[in-house]
Amino acid sequence: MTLEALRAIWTPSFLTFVSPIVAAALGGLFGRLGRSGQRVAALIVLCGFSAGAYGAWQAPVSALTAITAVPGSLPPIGRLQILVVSMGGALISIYHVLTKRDGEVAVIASLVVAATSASAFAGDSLRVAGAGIHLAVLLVAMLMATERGDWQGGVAGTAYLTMASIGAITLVAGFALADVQKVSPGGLVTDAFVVAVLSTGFALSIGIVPLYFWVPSASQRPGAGASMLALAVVVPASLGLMLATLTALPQLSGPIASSHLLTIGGLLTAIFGAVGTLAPGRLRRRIGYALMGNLGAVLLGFGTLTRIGVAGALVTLAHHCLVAIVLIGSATEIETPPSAPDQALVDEDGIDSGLRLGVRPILIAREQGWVARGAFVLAAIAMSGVPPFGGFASRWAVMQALALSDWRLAFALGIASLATTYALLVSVPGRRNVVGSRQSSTRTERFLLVLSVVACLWGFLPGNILDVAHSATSQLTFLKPF
Amino acid sequence: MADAEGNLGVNELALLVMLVVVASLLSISVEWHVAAACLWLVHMLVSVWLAVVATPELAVSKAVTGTTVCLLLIPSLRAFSQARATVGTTGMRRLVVVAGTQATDEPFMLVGAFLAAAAAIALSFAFPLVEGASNFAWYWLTLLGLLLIMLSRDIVRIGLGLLLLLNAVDLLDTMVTRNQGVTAIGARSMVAIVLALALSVIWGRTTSVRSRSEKADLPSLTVTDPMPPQRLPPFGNPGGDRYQGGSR
Repeated sequence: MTLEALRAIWTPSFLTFVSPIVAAALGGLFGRLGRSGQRVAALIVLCGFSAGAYGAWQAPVSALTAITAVPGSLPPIGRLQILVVSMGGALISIYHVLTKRDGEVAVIASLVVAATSASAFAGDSLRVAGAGIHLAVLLVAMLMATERGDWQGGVAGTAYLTMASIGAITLVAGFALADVQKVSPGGLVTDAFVVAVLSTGFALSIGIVPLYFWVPSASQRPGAGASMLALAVVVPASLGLMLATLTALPQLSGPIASSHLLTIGGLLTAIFGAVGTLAPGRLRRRIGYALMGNLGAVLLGFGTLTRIGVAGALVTLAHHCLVAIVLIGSATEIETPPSAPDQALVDEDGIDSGLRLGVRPILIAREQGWVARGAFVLAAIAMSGVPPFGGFASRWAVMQALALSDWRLAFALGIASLATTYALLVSVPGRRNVVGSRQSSTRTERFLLVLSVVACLWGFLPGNILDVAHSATSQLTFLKPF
Repeated sequence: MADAEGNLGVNELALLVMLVVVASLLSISVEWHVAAACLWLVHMLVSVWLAVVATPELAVSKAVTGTTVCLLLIPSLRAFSQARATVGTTGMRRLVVVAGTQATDEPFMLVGAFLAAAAAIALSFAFPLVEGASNFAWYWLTLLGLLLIMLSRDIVRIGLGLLLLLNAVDLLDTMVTRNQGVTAIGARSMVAIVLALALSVIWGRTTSVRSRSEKADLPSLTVTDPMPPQRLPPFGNPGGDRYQGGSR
């Protein structure tokens, strides 16, 4: 009887969000057993991610609106969401292990992936889906506050917790108001009002202009793991919830289309992201603005409300996840200051002054960092949308959909993307400004370089990737046929 | 039947009055004992409210969640209070910004609470989204939570405001959809508990960072002053950007 019960619940769907939780528990246990234990923990967490992705791939597929009739089934968009967040969580965990830093990044990443996977499985139960995203936000906020030992993590965690929590709570209020509107159409609550409330919630959760306040802080101040989780995992999951909301509440697509809300928000976000990246600031802060601008392209793709536009936006979103990890990771490697015994300012005569101070690794510092810089440059170019790099593959569908409606939108997006890439490229500090020397592992930098190459080669598989995304978007009932 | 309805009305009115008093006290409270007790009472009153207007299952869920939330927050609130009591005079001004409220904030927040009450009454008559007195309850909790978040300078009150806001939206959601599934109720309770855990972790981290920076005379952590003045090198701040979370 017990065996039969176990077989009954041991389904791919069950595997999808239970395996990351089990992996997190085991990882947390092994993580306390020193360096070797942390490696075992990371391996367990990676197995959990793999099992979850396998479960998502094997789970029965159903239309989003019929999810309640088929328990354990998964909409195609939800499957893509789980695959993307699992990939992001796995890459972040590998990066964290390679940097040989202490901390609970892998465990928290596992829990975040489990929460977002549960959100994808919730289907048309939007409240449960929103709760999953809110849980992920809270976990990442905790990690932000604790990953680094200084005050900056606390500031970033507080800002992120406050803003994103208000956004998630607003989303629940919006779902409740949508129910009120359904029960009494023509009453006090109109579709436009529900759209306004939900837009505020999503703007706060995702970081859309003008409600983007937490993004630069979350990109710059916390440790790399928390930044990556916030910008490369939770944000794509929130955008997945946006698609689920539009599918479950198709009556909202009318006001959105007539008000051009997504288009305006996306355009403002892309332009403001480019301007913010051009402004002087620390490297990781600029990256936050650049990633925000990249999300503007995703929103513009959603705003076309066409299959080709949304499919391109989904590919851009997956590419965004990869690029965000590379940019934040390489910037952290570039900016990481030396350990205290090796600390010394390196100017143009840095070698001589270093030798006078007796600091041996300065010569190594002169040679280190180029791999991280190369990864950074490749990722920045890949994000730009310049052919033939990966950004082109993820952008061309969005550009095509935009050009069909208004070519000026596509032109503005292209200009904003190029400005963002230019700002990122000129923001990389030169060797003369390197502060001291780093004992960083070159394996980390090589890993980031491989990821950046993958991001660039993204463009060589456009057909396959777009086919998967296009078949998933064909299930979305609120889209125009093209 | 008429008696029953009449009794129900009296109960709702009494609950509303108690909710207004307790939530107002929460918004102006300085002592951690009072804040914790008021927060627990808010949850209990909302629970009783749900027992009256919704189902007992929802009421029990809210009571258990509220008790757990308060139990999670009490250690951090107490730690803040102890930290405030142990710092010297010079560090007092900076710490209270983080760890507690100043006496001058009380009248300001009290006026804000009165304004929120007036706005809640007006909104509940002008835009009654749900039935009866529940309108005032959720409008009142929403506005008070937003006031606490927007006007407070310390992270403790911001956290309390978030919890109030969560309660308000839970109340609205429950009034709109009475027959919610176990999954939805459990997910909402989980969110409230993890929110309390996150607040507790952030408050605790702030206390420890505060203690260290007091000893080293480093800039304090404030929400309103996130970037203390310091001399920056051309690219990055070595002291600020140092990765202290682990060893390489």
